[in-house]
Amino acid sequence: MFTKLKKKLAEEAAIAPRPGGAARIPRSISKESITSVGADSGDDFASDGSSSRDDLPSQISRRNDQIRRLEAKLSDYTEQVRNLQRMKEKLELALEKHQDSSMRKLQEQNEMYQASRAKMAEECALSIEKKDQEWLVKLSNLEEEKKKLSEQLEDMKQKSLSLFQKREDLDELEVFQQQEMAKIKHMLLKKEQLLSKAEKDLEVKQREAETSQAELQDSQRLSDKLQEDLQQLQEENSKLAEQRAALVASQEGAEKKITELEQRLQELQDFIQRLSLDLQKAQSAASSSEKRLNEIQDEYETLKLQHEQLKSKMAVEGQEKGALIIRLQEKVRSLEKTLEGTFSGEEGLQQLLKEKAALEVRLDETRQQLSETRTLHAETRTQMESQTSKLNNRLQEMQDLLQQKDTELNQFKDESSLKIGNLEQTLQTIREQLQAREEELKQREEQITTCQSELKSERDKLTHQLHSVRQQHADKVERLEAQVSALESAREIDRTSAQHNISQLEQENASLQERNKDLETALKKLEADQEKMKEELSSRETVSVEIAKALEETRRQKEDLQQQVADLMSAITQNTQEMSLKKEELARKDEEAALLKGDYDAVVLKMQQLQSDLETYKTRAAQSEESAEKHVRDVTEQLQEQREALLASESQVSSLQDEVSTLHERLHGTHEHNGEVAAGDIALLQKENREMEQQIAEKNKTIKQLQQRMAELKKTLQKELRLKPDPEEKLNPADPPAPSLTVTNNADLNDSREINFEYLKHVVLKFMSAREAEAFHLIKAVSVLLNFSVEEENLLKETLEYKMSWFGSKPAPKGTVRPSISKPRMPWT
Amino acid sequence: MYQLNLSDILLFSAAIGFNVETVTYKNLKFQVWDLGGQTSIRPYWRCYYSNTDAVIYVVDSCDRDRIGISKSELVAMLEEEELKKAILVVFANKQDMEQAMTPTEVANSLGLPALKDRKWQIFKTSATKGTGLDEAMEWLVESLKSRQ
Ligand SMILES: Nc1nc2c(ncn2[C@@H]2O[C@H](COP(=O)(O)OP(=O)(O)OP(=O)(O)O)[C@@H](O)[C@H]2O)c(=O)[nH]1
Ligand SMILES: [Mg+2]
Repeated sequence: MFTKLKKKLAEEAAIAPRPGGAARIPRSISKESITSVGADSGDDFASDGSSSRDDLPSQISRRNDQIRRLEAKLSDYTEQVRNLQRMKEKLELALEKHQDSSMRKLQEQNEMYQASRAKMAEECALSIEKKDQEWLVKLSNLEEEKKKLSEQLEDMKQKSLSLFQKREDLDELEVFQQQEMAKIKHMLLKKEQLLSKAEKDLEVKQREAETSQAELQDSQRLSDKLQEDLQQLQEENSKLAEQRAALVASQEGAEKKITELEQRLQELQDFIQRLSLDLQKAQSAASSSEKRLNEIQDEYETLKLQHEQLKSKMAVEGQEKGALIIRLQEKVRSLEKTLEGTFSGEEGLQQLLKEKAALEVRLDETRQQLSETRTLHAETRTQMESQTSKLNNRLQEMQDLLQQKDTELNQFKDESSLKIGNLEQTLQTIREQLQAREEELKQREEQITTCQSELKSERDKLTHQLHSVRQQHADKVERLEAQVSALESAREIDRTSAQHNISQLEQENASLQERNKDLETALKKLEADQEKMKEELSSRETVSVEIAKALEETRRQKEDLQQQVADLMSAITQNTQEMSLKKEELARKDEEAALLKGDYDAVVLKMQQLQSDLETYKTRAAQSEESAEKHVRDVTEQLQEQREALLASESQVSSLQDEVSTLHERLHGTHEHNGEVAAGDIALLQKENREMEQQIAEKNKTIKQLQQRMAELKKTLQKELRLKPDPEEKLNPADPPAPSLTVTNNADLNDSREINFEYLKHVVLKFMSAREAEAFHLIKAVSVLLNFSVEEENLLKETLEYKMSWFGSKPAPKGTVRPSISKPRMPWT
Repeated sequence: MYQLNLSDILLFSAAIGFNVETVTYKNLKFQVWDLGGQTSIRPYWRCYYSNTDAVIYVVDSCDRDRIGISKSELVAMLEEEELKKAILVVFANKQDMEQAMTPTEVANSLGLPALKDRKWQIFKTSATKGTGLDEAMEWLVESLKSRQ
């Protein structure tokens, strides 16, 4: 509110130099003016603010001046307020007066209205009396009309006479009807004739049917004949079958014969085989005998060889013996010679003789032996020769036997071959016969089958013919019967239709008569009604015209009154509006005053706060300074004490050292015990000394720390003293800034927010009212203004797309994206 | 009809905000967004940049003081990526006034001759009298058609 006021003031100031400028110009100027106002008020401060904080009292005095100025302004405002209150009182008085006058006017008008109403009532009563009189007149008129109506009644009677005439017409109609009936009867007769014709036709058809039945019988006979033929054929067939059986039997016999023959053949073959076996045996025997013969011959030859060997041996032996004999003879000769030659000695001769005798014996013996061996040999030779002869005999016998057997065999072979040939010939002939028989049989069978098929086909044909003929007949009969039934039904239908027609015509006649009567009565009623209505209408019209006139008059009066009332009301409303405007102005002034007061209070408060702050700061600074100084003093005192203590101890130490040296000198080489004690004292003292020095160092450290703290405290104090005027400096910039986007005045921010709110309102309104295509463009603006997150913006887009498309699914808000009101990011003040 | 519409739009004095109007001119359908020029709502211009074929920049030819702001705003706007291919039409408005700058003055003040990679044209208009709008729209339609 404060900013608004400021703006207003500024605008007042700005409008003066540039009246009638464009609407936008004041807007920008307002910002400038706001800032310039700020500069005016804080001008002096800005110049002094940075100088020092020592001149606070002077600042305060300036503040006070300001305050005084503001107070003066405030007093002006209060005066203004007082004036306004006075004005307000005056206005209230005027208003009361006005209200009184208006009330008076209203009362007068009310009275007027009531008076006029009373007049109206009187007029109405008069008019009603008049109307009563008129009504009486009308009643008399009505009576006259009644008379007229009785006359009309007579007319109606006449009309009834005409009705009678109409009835006559109706009678005529009935006559016509009867004629029509006659016509219909005629038609019926014709139909009956037609029927009789149809019956005749039927009879003809029945005859035809009979003839066809006769034909049927003929065909049945034919079929019987055919069946007989069939039986004959079947008999033939059976005969043939018998023949066939016989043939089959003969065939079987022949086959038996063949088998027998074959058996015989087999037997013969067996026999031949046996013979051949015998032959083989004989041959084998022959071969064996030949082998034996060969063996014997071999033996014989070996024997011969032996014989020859023996012969040769014998010859050799004979030769040797001969040689021996020769030599012995030679010897004998030589000996004899010698004997002869020598003759010397008998003994030698005797011996020689002896030897000759022995040799001769021996020769004899060998000759004997030789003869013996020759005899033996001869014997063996004879034996052998006999043996060979025997063997030769046997051989010849065997050969003879063989020859015999061969001849036998040949003979047998010839015989058997002959026999076989005969048998085979007979077999072939038998087979040929059989084949011929079989062929015959086949032919017969074929004949039979052909005969049977022919028979069957013939039978089928016949049965087919029979069936077709029968069916034809049945169809014909059925057709004829259907025709007959149709004709009969047609006849019946015709009859019923005719009867129906007649009844309908009669009904029509009756209904026509009834309608006639109804029409007559309705006519009468309608005529009566019409007349009555006419009367009423005329009377009513006159009445209504009069009433309308009266109504119009009253309406006019009423309108006049309403206009008066409206005028009064408008006057009242104007007055009240004026009053309200005045009140509003007053309220605004009050508000302004209150605001000014509030501002003044705030400024005073701020001042007070600042003063109190200053004082507190001062006191704090003083306190801190005092404390610091105290501390410093304490510390320095302590230090001095310490130093004194140190000096004292040092002097002690020196004295002690002196003492020690003296003692050393004294006790040099005398008492070691005492020396040791003095040395321990010295060590103790030295320790004490060190401790003291450490303490001093620590004290020095603490002093330094305290001094640092003091310095810090001083700094902070100075800072605080310096900082305090700073915010005021910021509020009052020395140079007026150019109107730009970056101006962030408190008032300006408020202003912009208000504008933004208006803008947001407008954008949202457009977004909701515009078409989808336009709304889609507005999504970004809406989301920027409402600080939507990216997900929220996308959700909006998706929903809009879903609306724009005919299909697709409604996107659900996912994750944290949920349009929530619970945590608004940017609250609008 | 059209001229009436556009001048209506130009004269549309929404206190705060903008106006949307769909206008058909020479068989071309325009969705015209009238964005307010107030300082406080200028930042929201960028919300409407997407899918823009052409920018009609209406300048007060009488306001010599603020033509500089107008220039800087225009330059900032044309730097936007979304408006890279948009055709620029400048209306040097309020030409019915005596103290109005000429279109060339306005063009120079806005720095239009220095624009690169931009199809632009300036037209002198008067929203109150409704003059100059027809030529401007004619040019815009032709350039849009030639672009396609
Ligand atoms: N003489 C004259 N005045 C004009 C012309 N065009 C606009 N105006 C006036 O300029 C003032 C501001 O016009 P607006 O159309 O509201 O301006 P705007 O640019 O739309 O303002 P914003 O929407 O706030 O940006 C109005 O008083 C108009 O009558 C013109 O061609 N000639
Ligand atoms: Mg506008």
